[in-house]
Parts: sequence; structure tokens; C-alpha cells
Amino acid sequence: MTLLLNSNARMALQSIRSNKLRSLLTMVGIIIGVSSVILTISLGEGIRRQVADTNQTSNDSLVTVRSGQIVKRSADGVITDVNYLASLGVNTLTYQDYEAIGKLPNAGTVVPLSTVSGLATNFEGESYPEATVVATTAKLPEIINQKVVYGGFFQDSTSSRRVAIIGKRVAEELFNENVPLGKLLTIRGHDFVVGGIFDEFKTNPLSAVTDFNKAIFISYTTAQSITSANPPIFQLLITPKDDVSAEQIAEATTALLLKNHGNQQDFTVLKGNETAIVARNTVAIATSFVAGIAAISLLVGGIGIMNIMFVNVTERTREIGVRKSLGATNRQIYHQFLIEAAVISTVGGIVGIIVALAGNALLRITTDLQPAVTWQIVALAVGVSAIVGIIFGTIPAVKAARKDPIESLRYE
Amino acid sequence: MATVIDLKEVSRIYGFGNATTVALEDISLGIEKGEFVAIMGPSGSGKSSLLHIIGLLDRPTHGTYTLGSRLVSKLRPNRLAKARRDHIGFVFQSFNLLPRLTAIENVALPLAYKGMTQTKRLKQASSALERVGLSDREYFYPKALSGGQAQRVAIARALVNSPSLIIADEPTGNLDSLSSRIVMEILAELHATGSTILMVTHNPELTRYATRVLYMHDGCIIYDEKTKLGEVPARARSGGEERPSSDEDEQLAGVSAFINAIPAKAAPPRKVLQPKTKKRKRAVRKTAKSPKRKLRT
Ligand SMILES: Nc1ncnc2c1ncn2[C@@H]1O[C@H](COP(=O)(O)OP(=O)(O)OP(=O)(O)O)[C@@H](O)[C@H]1O
Ligand SMILES: [Mg+2]
Repeated sequence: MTLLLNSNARMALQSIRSNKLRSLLTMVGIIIGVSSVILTISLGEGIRRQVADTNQTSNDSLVTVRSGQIVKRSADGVITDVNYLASLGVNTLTYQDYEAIGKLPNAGTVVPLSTVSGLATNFEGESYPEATVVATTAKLPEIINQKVVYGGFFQDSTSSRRVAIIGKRVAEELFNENVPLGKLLTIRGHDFVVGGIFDEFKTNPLSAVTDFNKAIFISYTTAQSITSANPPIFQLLITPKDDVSAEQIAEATTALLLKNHGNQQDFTVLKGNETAIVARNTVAIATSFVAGIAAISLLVGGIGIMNIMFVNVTERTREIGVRKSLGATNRQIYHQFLIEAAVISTVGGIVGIIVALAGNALLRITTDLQPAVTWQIVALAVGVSAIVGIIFGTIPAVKAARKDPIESLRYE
Repeated sequence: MATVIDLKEVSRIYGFGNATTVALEDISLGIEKGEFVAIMGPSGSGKSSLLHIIGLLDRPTHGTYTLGSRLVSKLRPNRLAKARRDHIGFVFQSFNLLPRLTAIENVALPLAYKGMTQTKRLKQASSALERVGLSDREYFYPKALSGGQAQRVAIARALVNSPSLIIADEPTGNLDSLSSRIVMEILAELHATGSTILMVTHNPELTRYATRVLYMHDGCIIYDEKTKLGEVPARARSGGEERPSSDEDEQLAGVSAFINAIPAKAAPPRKVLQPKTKKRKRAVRKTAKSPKRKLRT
């Protein structure tokens, strides 16, 4: 049996080679399926690792409040379910919430993060559309433990001076230089002076709404004056007073917000490492969702293989007759065509892996993403593509095996 | 000598309802080990149908067939395939080599189905090719072989498994006279080493290699004669025309006179050199068949 398997596989490879274009077209479905599944999974895995890295440097006593209910907890406070989508497009935290939390007796530092809509342009009128304007307060660098490498962050007293502190990428993209201190930029028709440049933030694409390397930070008071409103807050960062634990301040914050929001749990309070749990979970959900869609193309690829195998069986009717006359049993004919389908599919899978690896390399070069491929993913992809071939090759192989030897021999 | 092939009142009917064709009608035939049987007869007379049944590619509609000691109707398809593999070698008019395999791979194919190791397979295939004088063509693909060479490869494939029975359906039908002779000499040699051979031919000259000649007509064996090696029986030259007349023939005198004329036309005493084309054969088959149908329904 193994001998026959061997020679069948060799013959299958031969027939793939002898009909290259057709084989390639047959494999396209599998190639796309496998490569997109691997790409999404390895992207997810890469992001998960980056999130884990970031978490190691973050502040354990930090409490974060976000808009929307993105986690469900069991009775003892453990996160049981994460739904990141619940936070998209909702801004339930207000300036009043910020002020109220600041008055809590246990609260140490409270920092709001808020986005201001509007395009930032440099003195020549050029813009950097990817930049986000974030309104916050002077304690931000301290609370997120991030250095301002050139210049300094604004102080509350200077907040009326219209100073902007920018992320590294904004410096590069908007001003084409590393240290554009003192340069002017315009937001909503108001001029701002670049007062400082942040050290590079460890990329953490999903844990915050924005990539801080692409953010322009202005003071919340300034934002109030240029928008004539209190910009909605997407996130509040809180540290407890020295002798208070993160749990205590988290509980107090939750109770306060519930009271202020009419008992609606339309916000999420996360402490310390829980932000990482949320991020990881969100990545996992997003990954499996996209990978699921990609898996559908594997199905389509399988149907493509089935189709071509039917054509193959019909075209080779005479060959089947000859093989039967030489003593091939139905089972042996069945195996021949099944193995051929599996080989086409597996070769497609291997090409798909190569395409995915190339795609990953491209992503590493052109973006901050660090997709990570594990050998398990690769083994899984090869296995799945072989199984797809076997599943979709079965019916054509049965058709081949059942052919009548005489009629097959007469077939022109 | 032992009877290896034993057919009793075997019929083969194709189709259903009104559209049936009786390809073989109540044929009883015994063939002994070591015989070289040439089968002659006009196109559509049922020669191939008979070979297919004897070669286990097809089953009789009625009647019993015993091969060796086994009753074929009792065998499952799987056993039939294995019996073909181990005991029977086929040679076809159109060679039927697999185009994507080299000569030696084609020859080794029956051994692969037996589960023999690759090295053993190739060694045995190589010696089979040597027997047909094609050692220097082992790695040629079929399309690079001449017709005669292709047929010799096909014979090597038929004999690679040392089968006791070789079935050849018009093996020289697509070959010129020289290639035909080479092929026939190989078959004669196989016969000399004890193989039983069944061969359909339209060429009377080739009956000189046979020890027995069967003449078929309308699904019946109308004449069965033992011959000496090297002799061409007179009946073969005339295409089996001296058939015994029956009552039925006399009753349908007008029509049967017409039918009687057909075999002579369909299988004329061909010159040895004449290659047979497919088109011509088909045209002949039509004229041979239509009156037959009218008669039966
Ligand atoms: N699959 C089939 N379905 C219906 N009729 C068939 C089939 N195979 C053969 N026949 C009929 O059976 C009869 C005998 O056919 P067969 O092929 O045995 O003739 P033959 O003697 O080999 O002729 P030739 O010399 O042309 O090869 C013919 O009338 C043919 O039309
Ligand atoms: Mg025939």
C-alpha cells in the first residue's frame, strides 16, 4: 500500500507539472485561503505578543476608565467576556465625570484623554491626515511613564499658550525633521507651537484608540476654548493615592460613575493588567473572525479542486480502462485520484504558506506590525489543505473507481 | 491437456428493451492450456465481446464461464481485478500505453498494482523490454516510439507478470507488415514457452502462427478448426465463407443470400501489407449490422 501511495504521489506531481497552468489555476483558491488564514493568524499572534510586551512596562496601579461596556464580569469581579465593539462610536464619559473622579478622596492623579476632530497642518499648509489631536492634561507623561525627549510637556499654567507636544511620527511626517521644536502647526485655524516631542511609544495598535506616535497633544483647556465645548472623553487614567490600592480606587470610581450615569453600566473600569487582557481578547476575537472569513476561501478552493478532478477523471477515462485491464482494483483507482487531489491541495497549501511568509516580511518592512508565524500554524495549514483535497477529491475519485473497464477502454 | 477456459452457452446482450444487441449468442467453447487461438470474423461479429468476457473485463449476460477451476460469475470485482493482474495479459490494437509514463514505467505498471518494490519492478520491466528487443528504449515516452515499438512495449507490459493467458485484440491492426511480423514472432515465442494465446485478427496470413482458428459471425462461432503451425487454412483465406447453411437460412433465402455476401465483403482476404484504417472499419460495421437488426426484431 505504501509503495503504491508513493508512486501515486509521484505520478500526481508529474501530472501537476505536465499541466502547469491548469494546476496553478486549480490551486489559486487554496493558495489564497491558506495564505490569508496564516496572515491573519500570524498578525494576531504578533499583536498579542506586542501587547504583552507593552504590559510589562506599564504601571500596575493604573486604573483605566473607558467608554462603553466592553467587559462582562463574574460576581467576584473576574473578566468573563470581552466585546471591544461595544466601545466603538460611543463616548459616554464626560468632563463632569473627570471632575467628579478628581474629587474622590482616594484619587491621586486623574488624566482625561479626548480626541478633537480636525486636521493639523504645518506652516506650509501641508497636512498629515493620519494624525489625531488628543486633548489631555499636564500629568499624562508621568501617569503613562513616557518621556518627552526634546522640549517638555505643557504645564497647566502654560496651557493658554497654545503649545502642542507631538509624537515621533508626527515630527517626521509633518515637519520632515526629528526635532521641530518651536515650529508652528495649525489646528482648526489656531496656531500652536511645538513645545516637545515624545519618546517613541511602544506600538500597541489596539489597546488605545490611537497610535500615540501619530498624536498631537494639546491641553484640555485649550481644546475647550477652540471647540467652545467640552470634548467627549474616550478614556480616563487614574492612579490612587499612596496608601490606597488600585482595587479600592477602581471600586470607588465604578460606584461614582454608576451614580452619575443613572445606574447605566455604559463604561468600563479596568485596573493594571486587565487592559492587557482586554487587548489580547480583542485581538483573539478579531483574529478568529477574519480567519473564519479566510477559511471560506479554503472551501471555495476545495470546490475548485473537485471541479478540476471531475474534468480530470473524464479526460483520463481511457487511462482508467487501461489500468483496470492491467489489474488495478477499484480501490487502487480510487486511491490514485484521491492522492492526486490531496497532492494538488497540499502543494497549493505550501505555496500559500510561502505567499503568507512573503506577505509577513512585507508587513514587517512597511509597517510597525510584527506578525509572528509559529510552526503550529504552518503544520495546521499543511494539514488542513491536505484534508480539503481529500474531502473534495472523494466524489471524483469514487466516480473514477466505478467506471466500467470496457466502456472506459472504448472512450476516445 | 487441461481445459483452462470453459464457456457454456454464454450470451452477451447489450442494451435494454427494443435497443438490444446480441453480441454473443449461446457460445460454448473450451480452450486448453498452451493453445494459440486465432479468432476471425467480420466486423461486429462479437470477437472483441468474446475476448472481453474471457479476459474478465466483462461478464456474460447468460451462461457460465470457468477460468482454471474458478467459476467467474461467483467472483467479486476485486477478485476479478487481481485475476487479471496475475493471470492475464492484454494487448490492444491501439497499444493503450499511458502517455505520461515512460516505456519502462508502462511495463512496470501491473507489478505496481501487485505491491512490488520500485527497484524490483524496474528490474523485471527491464528484462521484459529486453525480451521484446527494446532495451534501448526504456526511458522513451510513448509518443517518441513508432507504432511497432509501442506495440512491443505493450506486449512487454502484458508479459511482465508471466501470465498464463495472453489476450490480443487485433495486435497488428495498426502496424505495417514488418512490424506485424516482429510482433507475431514475439507472440509465437511466448506460445512456445507455454502461454495460452487468444488473438483476434483480420489478416488470414497470421493464422499460420495459430494452432486453432475460430470463425465468428453474428455472435456465433460458425467454424472451429485445429491447424498446424505454419499453415494457413483455406477457410481463413476466404474469410470463413464456407459456413454450413441452416434451415433458417433456407427459409429466409432472399435475405440470407444478402447476409452471406456480407462477410466476404467485410473481411476480404486482405493482403498482408494492407494497414486497416478505422474509418473503413466503421463503415463496414454499419452495413453488416443493419440487416441483422431487422432480422432479429
Ligand atoms: N457497449 C456496447 N453497447 C451496445 N452494443 C455494443 C457494445 N459493444 C459492442 N456492441 C455490439 O456488439 C456487437 C459485437 O461487437 P464487437 O466489438 O464484439 O465486434 P468485433 O467482432 O470485435 O468487431 P471489430 O472487428 O469491428 O472489432 C456489435 O454489433 C456491436 O455494435
Ligand atoms: Mg473488435
